[in-house]
Amino acid sequence: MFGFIRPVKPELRVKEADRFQQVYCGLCHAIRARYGRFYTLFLSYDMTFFALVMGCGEEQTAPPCRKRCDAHPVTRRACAVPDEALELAADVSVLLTYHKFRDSLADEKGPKRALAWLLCHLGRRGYERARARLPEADREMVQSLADLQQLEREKCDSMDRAADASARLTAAAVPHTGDARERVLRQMFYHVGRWIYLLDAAQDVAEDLEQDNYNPVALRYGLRTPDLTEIRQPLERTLERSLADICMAYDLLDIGRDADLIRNIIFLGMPLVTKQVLDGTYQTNGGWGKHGSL
Amino acid sequence: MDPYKVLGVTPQTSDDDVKRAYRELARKYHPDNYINNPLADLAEARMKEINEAYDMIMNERAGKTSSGASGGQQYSGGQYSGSQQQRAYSGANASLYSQVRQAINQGNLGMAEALLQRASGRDAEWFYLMGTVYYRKGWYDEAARAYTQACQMDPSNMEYRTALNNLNMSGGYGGYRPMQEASLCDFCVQLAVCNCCLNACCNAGC
Repeated sequence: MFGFIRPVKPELRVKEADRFQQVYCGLCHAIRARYGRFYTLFLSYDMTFFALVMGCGEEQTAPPCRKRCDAHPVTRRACAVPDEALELAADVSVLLTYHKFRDSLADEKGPKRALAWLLCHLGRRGYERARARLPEADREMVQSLADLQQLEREKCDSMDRAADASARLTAAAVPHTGDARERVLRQMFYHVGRWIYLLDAAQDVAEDLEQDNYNPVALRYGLRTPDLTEIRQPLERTLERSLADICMAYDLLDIGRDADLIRNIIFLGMPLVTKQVLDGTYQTNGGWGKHGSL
Repeated sequence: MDPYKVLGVTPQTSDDDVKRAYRELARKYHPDNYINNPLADLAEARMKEINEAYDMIMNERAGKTSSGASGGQQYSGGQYSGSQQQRAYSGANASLYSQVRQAINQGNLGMAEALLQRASGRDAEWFYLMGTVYYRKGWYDEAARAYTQACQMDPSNMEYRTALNNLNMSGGYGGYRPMQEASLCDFCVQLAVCNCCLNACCNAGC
């Protein structure tokens, strides 16, 4: 239930909103079926978007099935039937979640570090299974994460350099098929990763300054106070460029289904979240850990 | 290829609506939008397909059988692929800079970057070329820094200034600015429009 990438619900048609929820629930069930309950706790909207985009080449949408789950034990909820894209998203979700734990284990101090250690420990078996399914993607992710940690240790003051490592990590989720579609999707998820990384850094400026943590945005602009008004324009511009690249890559995909839903997310949802984070109104509009608009 | 499917129309669609659909697509995939974008070749291929589809439909409707000369109002692809202009260099890094431009045109960014590291001294051209490498990689903040530096070192160079303006304008995308839909900040829009006009004037002027 976290993630920056979400649709703007008032602009969705009812069937599109339903479809989004079905893919979200379907992904959760796919993760649970393959990796157990543990990893379903870290399911994000970002991965729902990934599942939608990876599956958008298909022409048909299978009718949803109805399932119960831990969050809705009484009523059965409509769920997307697992297909190739959903299963890929489940595997990638486990890989990314585990690498996130590993990253926290390397960065954090005190009780947070202990928690990260525990999560790493609990998630180890699921991760091994996901790695066996996607060995190449995992190798790329491990490499990018190592690069990122190196840059963080060096206190790299180039936003782009740090974001590049993180963006390569996200792009690694796209399987190697050797065709034009792979190129388009890699470009798309590279910039999705760049956007998430920079936006996340902008969102965390206050906390990181207080705790003296690495923050690429604060270092790049030499921030002493968590006030973003001064740097808002250049930051918005660079984020906007990534959004434009995502849009332009998306336009080159052959879309068979969910076109309007994905359009809503890219053309409305992501710009809206960008604005909210830079305004400092993101938390009051839902923010992390809350359902937000959905 | 089904030309109607490419343009997203049906055989029953009127000529005007076919034209409208064609213009809409041509605006979207116009090579100008994909300058310095790693997917420029794919956009160009798409543009070609759209042109062909439009030709086929229009020729078919005009009762022609051969697809020869068609209405001269087409958008052309090809000649724009964001390639760097050739220019005559002189000075210490002359041959190096030509090699860098060539590497950038071939999409070999790793080589361009390695060559630039070997340059002796960093002048405006060095920062401009470095900025272009960053631009192609999608490192937009670094690109803006390098272009700004190039403009400061050589304020009279139009190529540098145009590059910086393009970067700041979100590179077109048919005038698409993602943040515009989310924010009602008219000031930004006005700035963008001003920027556009200035660009047009400057380009016409030289």
